[in-house]
Amino acid sequence: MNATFPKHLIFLILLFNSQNAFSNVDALFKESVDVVWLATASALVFFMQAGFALIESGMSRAKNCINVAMKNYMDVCIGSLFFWLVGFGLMFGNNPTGWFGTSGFALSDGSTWDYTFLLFQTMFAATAATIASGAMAERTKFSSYLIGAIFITAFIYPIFGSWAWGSHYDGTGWLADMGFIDFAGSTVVHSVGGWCALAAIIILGPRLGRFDKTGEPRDIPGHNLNLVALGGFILWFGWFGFNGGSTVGADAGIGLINLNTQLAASAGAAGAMLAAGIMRTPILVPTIVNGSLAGLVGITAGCASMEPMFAVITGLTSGLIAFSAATLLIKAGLDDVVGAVSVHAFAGAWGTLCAGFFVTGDLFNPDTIVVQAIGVVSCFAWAFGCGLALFKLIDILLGLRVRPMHEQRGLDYSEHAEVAYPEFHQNSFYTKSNLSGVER
Amino acid sequence: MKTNQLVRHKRIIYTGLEAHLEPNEVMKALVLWEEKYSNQAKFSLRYFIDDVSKAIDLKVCSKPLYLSLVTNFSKSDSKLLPDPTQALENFKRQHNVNTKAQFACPDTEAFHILISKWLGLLTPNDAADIVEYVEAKILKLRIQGELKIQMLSWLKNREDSIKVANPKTKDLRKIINLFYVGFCENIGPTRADELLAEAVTRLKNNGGGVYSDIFSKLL
Repeated sequence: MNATFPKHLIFLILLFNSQNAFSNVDALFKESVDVVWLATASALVFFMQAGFALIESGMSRAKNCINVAMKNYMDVCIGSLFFWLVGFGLMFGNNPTGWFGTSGFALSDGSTWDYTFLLFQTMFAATAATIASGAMAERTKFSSYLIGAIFITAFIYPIFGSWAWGSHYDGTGWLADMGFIDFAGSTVVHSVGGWCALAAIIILGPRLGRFDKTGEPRDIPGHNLNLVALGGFILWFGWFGFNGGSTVGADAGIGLINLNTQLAASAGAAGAMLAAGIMRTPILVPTIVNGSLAGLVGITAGCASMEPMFAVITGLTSGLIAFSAATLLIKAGLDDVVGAVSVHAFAGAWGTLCAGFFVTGDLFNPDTIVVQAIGVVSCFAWAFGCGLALFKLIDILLGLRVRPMHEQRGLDYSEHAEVAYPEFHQNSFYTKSNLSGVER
Repeated sequence: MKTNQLVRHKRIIYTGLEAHLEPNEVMKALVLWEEKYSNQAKFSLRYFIDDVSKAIDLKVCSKPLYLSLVTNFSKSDSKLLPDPTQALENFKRQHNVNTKAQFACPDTEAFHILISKWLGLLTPNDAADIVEYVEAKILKLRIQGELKIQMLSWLKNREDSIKVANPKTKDLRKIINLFYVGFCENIGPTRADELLAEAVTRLKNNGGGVYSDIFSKLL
């Protein structure tokens, strides 16, 4: 080295380079941690499918429980493929108009982060699609349901998502541009799924004998309430990834988000119990589980932007809303087997409004509330309208409802040639041994 | 089927067969018709011809025989041969054949005892409501016309048997399903499932075990 070169200059050059090197390592480390967290959150959200399957299967009669589980299983499979193929591009592609994305279809040449983000969003799309399956249980054709699920994941959900969440690349959605708050998807995911479910059950009609001649409802109890409770726990567990993962990165805010999630779920269950007490009805397992789910759906929009006290209020009122909405639907002669519409559509809409009421440092700002209301109404108009057209079209072209003979035999057998509990079947002729001689 | 209708059908069959078969063969075929097909709709003729072919070793082709029978259905009474009842009775006496119209088949019997038992598990009012429901809906079912008529008669009079020979199993299944829908609408689906299972179990435990396989086919 040249002896005349100043030593302090050498020191400065070394220091500058090391800072650069450290900042590169920092960025790399940050991205890796973000990817790890989002991939983990994706797995948690995926696990919610198991929760949905258990809840819906448990609330169905034994002769239909495999069919419901199969719908959950297949809609995540087919939904994942179609969301990758079409949905992701419509939802998160370049969005110059504010109405839908135009790039990113069948994503194959993206960055590490694109892939991670796509994985996480795929789980959300599958969640939106699977919501309808529980409402439509015990009387829907398997193939027709799957076609409906494809259109929800590939078209109905992504288009609304592009309005509310904007683009992963360039441009933004018109609702996002207005300042619409829906952190993890009370409206984008849950209400979209819930309104589609409402459209589906209107087209389908109630199960045989669900209402008597005077319109009074008859109970059709689910076959396994333990599965319902376990499904509730699994959904709750998965929700920490659903809301916590929506930071889309390892972020210090996850603590508050997941605390709010926990408090709202607990308050939702308490709200449902309170409503059951006020109405002097028995405190049923499905009522309580649906109450906690309503709390979870409700807090999803505002879990990152409100204080825990307001999360409790949001959860409690969501539980009450879901209970009341379920009663209202029954009075309207609509048969929602698991209460998906009341939990996902109504509690989702209410939670989205709560996200506008309780913004930290900006409580009850009328401008924010108006934007939230516009989001809720536009979601209903889009998802319910499209859902109605979709399921009506499927009904006309393929038939949405199974034949009464299939309802008699149960969809497990008529759609899948299966019997869920071959050794423990009760109160049914359709046991494994009897079915061997049945002509399908 | 009304008596004069039955006589006309017998004359149609007699006229059609007489043109193609020996007198003895005609009588054997008429015995077969009376036994198994006299209460069935005319579109069961093809099965009748098949049975005749097997029973009397037909020397003629079955197609012209079938066409002849079908054509005779559109003929006026004056163009048909006279009622062969007396000749048929003589033939049966000579050959020591003692037959009546035969409706009993295992499927129909199993169907009959199942429906009777299933309805028997209800209160009279509920059973009456369900029968009323089935009466109102059965005419819209796509099943054999004769079966519809006989079922309506059975529902009204609760006779000891349902007088249809060889009904199609899928038609009986459709009627059972109509009853099932009636049960669901009147007493609820959970109770309907319970009672169906209970009816089958009771029948099996009380000597109806021979029908086990048929219950599987019917349900």
